[in-house]
Amino acid sequence: MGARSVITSQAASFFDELAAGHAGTPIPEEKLVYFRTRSRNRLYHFILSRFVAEQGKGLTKAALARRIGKSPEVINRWLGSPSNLTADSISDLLIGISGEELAPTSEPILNQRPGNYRPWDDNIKIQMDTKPSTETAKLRLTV
Amino acid sequence: MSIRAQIEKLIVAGELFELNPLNHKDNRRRTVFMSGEINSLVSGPWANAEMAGRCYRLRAELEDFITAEQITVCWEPFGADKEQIGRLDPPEWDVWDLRSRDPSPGLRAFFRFACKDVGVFFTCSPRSLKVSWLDRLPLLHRESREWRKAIADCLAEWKALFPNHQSVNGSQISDYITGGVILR
Repeated sequence: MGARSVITSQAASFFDELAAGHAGTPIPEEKLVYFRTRSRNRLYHFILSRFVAEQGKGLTKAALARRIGKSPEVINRWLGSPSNLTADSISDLLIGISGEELAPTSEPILNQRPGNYRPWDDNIKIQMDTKPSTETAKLRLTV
Repeated sequence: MSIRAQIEKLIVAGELFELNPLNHKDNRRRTVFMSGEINSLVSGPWANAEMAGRCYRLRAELEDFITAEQITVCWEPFGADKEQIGRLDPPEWDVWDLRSRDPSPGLRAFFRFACKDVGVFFTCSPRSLKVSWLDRLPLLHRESREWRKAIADCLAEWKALFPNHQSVNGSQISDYITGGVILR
């Protein structure tokens, strides 16, 4: 791409501005964008999990649309991807889906213990446990 | 050699990269491997803040593929509404895309499943407009030459890296991904 080396996302330095505290340098816009996207995705998945749970009890997008006075197209847009939600649409969806309201919480980003689980390792372990073939025996030595 | 061993070999050779969420605390449910092209986009360096912001957003969407409990799936090609990932036409080629829609122009990252819950991402194209920092033409309408080329490119990159392995070929979403959701 021939881009000049001006900005990178090395994990080691990614949280520098956050670690600097209130007197630190401004947090770059691109990092704000990253966290905005994460927050939006988290809210979206919260709503989606509620909808999927109620779908199992018979809720449909059409029924939800009728319930909160929106068109099916709007419901499609809201439930389809994270980029279409606002505080108001989240409220409407939660009320319509499960009669709930949002109860926000948050957690610090810094100084968290890393998650130890890596599905890729687990897949290999499962393969070794269930298929003790010559090929997986080789895998045991190389991975 | 198993496909897992092949992936490990490609990583050692610097031909594939694993995407690790920047927040190490994130729960991982799936795995993303990337070509050098995708790795450059999500890891930098970037030419300017606008490119960095857009690529960080793409990175967050790819990390979401790793961490999300549920992912909305467009299972039937051309039936896309607003889902997060979709199986592309022809379905028997098993080429998928991840949609990073916001801001416009959206980006589409093309991938195949090496195993269940393991996506190998190869290329990225803008959806509707040329992007100065991407060397790929916009995909435009769904029957366009660029769409066909993007799908063929993904397939060609797979064959270059995995000449002796097939990608996942299933008859239902759960053959490909845990937590795949079709909205009805």
